[in-house]
Order: sequence, then structure tokens, then C-alpha cells
Amino acid sequence: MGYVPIKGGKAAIEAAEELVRYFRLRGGSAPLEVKQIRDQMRLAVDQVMGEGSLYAPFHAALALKQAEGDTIEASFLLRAYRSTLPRIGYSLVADTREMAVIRRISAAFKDIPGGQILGPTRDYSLRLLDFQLVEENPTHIKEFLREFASKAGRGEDDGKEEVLPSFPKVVDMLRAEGLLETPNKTEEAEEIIDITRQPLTFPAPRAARMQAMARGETGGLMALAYSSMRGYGNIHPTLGELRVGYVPLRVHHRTRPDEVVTVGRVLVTEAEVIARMDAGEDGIPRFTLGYGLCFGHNEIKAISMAVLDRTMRTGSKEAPAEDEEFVLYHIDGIEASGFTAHWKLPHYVTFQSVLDRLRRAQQVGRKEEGSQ
Amino acid sequence: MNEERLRTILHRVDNGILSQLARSVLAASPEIRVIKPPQVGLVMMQARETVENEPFNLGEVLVTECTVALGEATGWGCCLGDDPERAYHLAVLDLALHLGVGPVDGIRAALLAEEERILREDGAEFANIARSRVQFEALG
Repeated sequence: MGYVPIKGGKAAIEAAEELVRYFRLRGGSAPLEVKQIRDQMRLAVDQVMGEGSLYAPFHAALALKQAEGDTIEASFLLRAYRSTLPRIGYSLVADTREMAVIRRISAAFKDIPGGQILGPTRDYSLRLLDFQLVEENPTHIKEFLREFASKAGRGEDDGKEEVLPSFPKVVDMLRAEGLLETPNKTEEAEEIIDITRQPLTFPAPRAARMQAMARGETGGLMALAYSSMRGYGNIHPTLGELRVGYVPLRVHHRTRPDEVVTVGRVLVTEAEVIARMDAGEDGIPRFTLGYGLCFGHNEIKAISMAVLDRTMRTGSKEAPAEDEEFVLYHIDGIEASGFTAHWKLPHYVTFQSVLDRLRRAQQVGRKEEGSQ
Repeated sequence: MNEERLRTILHRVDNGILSQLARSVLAASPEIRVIKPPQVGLVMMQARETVENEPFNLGEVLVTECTVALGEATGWGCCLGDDPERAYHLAVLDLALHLGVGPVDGIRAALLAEEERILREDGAEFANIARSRVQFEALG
């Protein structure tokens, strides 16, 4: 049986859409400015940019406003908007060693060159509701900013940071000591696979895995990475380095291609996990590595990505996190939410068919029971 | 001050100063014409992971680009976000620096001043961030 077209519901749908707006506004509070969301809901904005796979802070904030804070819906809006725009080119390959760091820590070593910089983090804060925020007003904000600015010059590091430092990577240090696996590939692929234009195939090229995870949904990545941490394909990770900061976006000049133009700075989070030892081709054991990188400030996502990168390279498929098909097919928030939401659509015909079968099976069952 | 350094500053130049500089170029060379008006588009950002050192597509970045011309020569501007005015002004500056038209010395001096401001602000920002650098102390 094919699909049966039906009519009706237009007026109800229009009323439902109007109700969406009504439920957002009926409280009578002042309208949220997009800039407020961009500045003060920065982590939600970053999550939406990552999952929407589009670095556009203002647009991500707008999407959050439209979606009433639903990050998956906002990511969907951003991805849909992205699909309407032309792609004007590819960037030069960014090197995160150039990152202007706002946060950089290592769980593997206490002393790392450049030091551990906590940056903006809640890691050491008590999870207590701050009722002072209820009364926060522009005067409080001005006072705080003035006081914050006045602290500059009082710290031990102040005055020494005239030039922005670039930090050596912990993994580079481990590699230099021969303690970490080294890259196997000597030749670079001519074309970098792009999963927005080519379907995922398995085994997935490494670039496809990375791209799929970079736009994966934070919760989905975390759940699968957590399953590994709890023992289902554990890789015993240690966070070698976690960095948050700005990397330059560079492109070739449109009309003079031999020239390089810096377009701007993109905030990213990078995680490198050092995982269990493995004997290389030479039989010498070395630590292995997992890598995560995503748009914006999203540490849970970058760490989960790095863990899953390593679990998928284990070579077995005994646990879900080790099975790249399982991981990569289930982490995309837009696809997963779309399929989940589709169950709300009418399934009248298919359900009627199942209902018919059930009634017939019950009739047969009752007849057999009566004849015994 | 070489061309590459000038170009690196351009993406951080304050909108007001950029607008002033572009207007000064347009006043000196009014025949500069727009051949591709500002348009929003995407740049696929590529990065390199550190396990196999392989490049991959991280995701797309929203940019605005614009192309202007003077005679046969073209200037191209590209900035983050949806900002047609900035993209246009960047294209004008790119052309001016490429051809050496307009008040080039004044532009160079303004960009140098902007570079100083950016370095100062970045330094101050990092000084604030560096206050959260951990000073470990061994106990016992």
C-alpha cells in the first residue's frame, strides 16, 4: 500500500505556529536582544555553532532566541540557513599551535611549558544557585568590569605578557621523547573528504570521522564516550592537554591566489587524550592518542570526541564506542532528532495495518482456544 | 612594514578607522567600482589533527566577501559574519595597498597604530587570563 494523501489541519497548524510565539511572549518580559544571548549565553551559542556546523555567533544566538533555548532546534535552524549559502572556498589548514589561548590545562603533567592556565572555568566552583544574579543590573555590571580592569597590573604575571605567548604542545613533548605513537601516514590525501557533500561510507576515512564528530551533538558524543569510560571498551584516557582559544582563519586571496588573507579569528576547543599503551610495528610500546576539536568553547564535546576517536581505533567492535558505524551514525543531533520527531507525524495507515493484523491474530487465537 | 603584515592587521582593524581609510581611498580614486557586491558565503575551515597529522574539515564559517576594481586590477575583502560594509571597505583597502593608490602613507601609519592598539589590547587581555595561571607549591 502506498501513501494516502490527506487534507486538513491548515488552520490548526497556523494557529499552532501563532501559539509558539504567544507562549514565548505571554510572560510580558522585555524582549531578549540577540546580542544579549550572544554575550551572556555564550556556551549555548558555542554548542549551537558546533552542532550546526556553522561558525556564526550572531546567527547562532538568533537561532537560540527563535528556538526558545532548544539547542538541537537552534542547530537545525543554523544548518538549514547554512544550506542556503554558497561556499566560496576552503581555508588554509589551521594549526592550533598558533592558538591565542584563553584556557589551557593538562591532567597528565603538573608542570608544562607555559604553565596551566585555568581561564574562564566553573570546574572549581560549588554548584550553588547564585541568587544575586536575580538582582543583577547595568550598574552591577559596570562596577564589576571596572573592578576587574583595576586588577590588571596586580598579578605576578602582569607586565610580562607584552607578546602573546604560543604554547608548546604536551603531545609534541611526549613524541620528542619517543613515548607517544607517531603518525603512520607519510603522504597527504589529495582531497579531504567532506561529509556535507559525500555520504559517510565505512570504514570511514579519518577526515570523515573527525568532521562527523566535530558537528556531532554534545550529549550524544558524551553518552558514547561515557560508556567507554565506564568499561565498555575502556581506553584508560588521561587528558594530555585541553586548550580553548582563537585560531586564525586564513584563505587564499580570491583574485591573487598566491596571497594569503587572514579573515578573522575562530574560537575552538581542542582536546588530546593520552590512552593505553600499544606496541607499534617495531614492537616497542608507546602511548596512543585520541584527538578532539570543535567550534566554540565546549570542553565536554572536545574530550568526548578525543575519547571516541581513540575507541574507534581499537580495532575491535566489542563495545558500541569501538564500532565506528555505531558511533558516527548516532551522534548527529539533527539526524537523530529528526528521526525521533518523525514519530509525531501521522502513521495512520501503517498503524491501521498493524491493528488489522493484531485483530486477525486475536480472532485466530480465540478460535484455536475454543476448539481445544 | 611588509604587505603580509599589513594584511594580517586588516582583519582586526576597528570598523570606524577602516571606514575612514576606505573613504579616503575612494575620495582619491572615485573610479573604483564594485564588481561583486558584498555577499554572504561560507568558508570551509580546515584543521589538522595530531594523531595522524591529517587535515580535516572542521566546519563552515560565515563570511562576507566583496570585490572591487580599478581598471584591470581588483581588490578583495572578506570578513567574519554578515557585515557588507566591512567587506566592501576591506576590498577597497586591499586594492589601495595592492596598487599603491590613495593616501598610502597615511593608511600605513593608521594600520601601524592599529597594530599597536591590537597588541596592547591583546596583551592586556592575556594579562587578565594569565592571572588564572596555576602556581603549584609542593607540600611537605
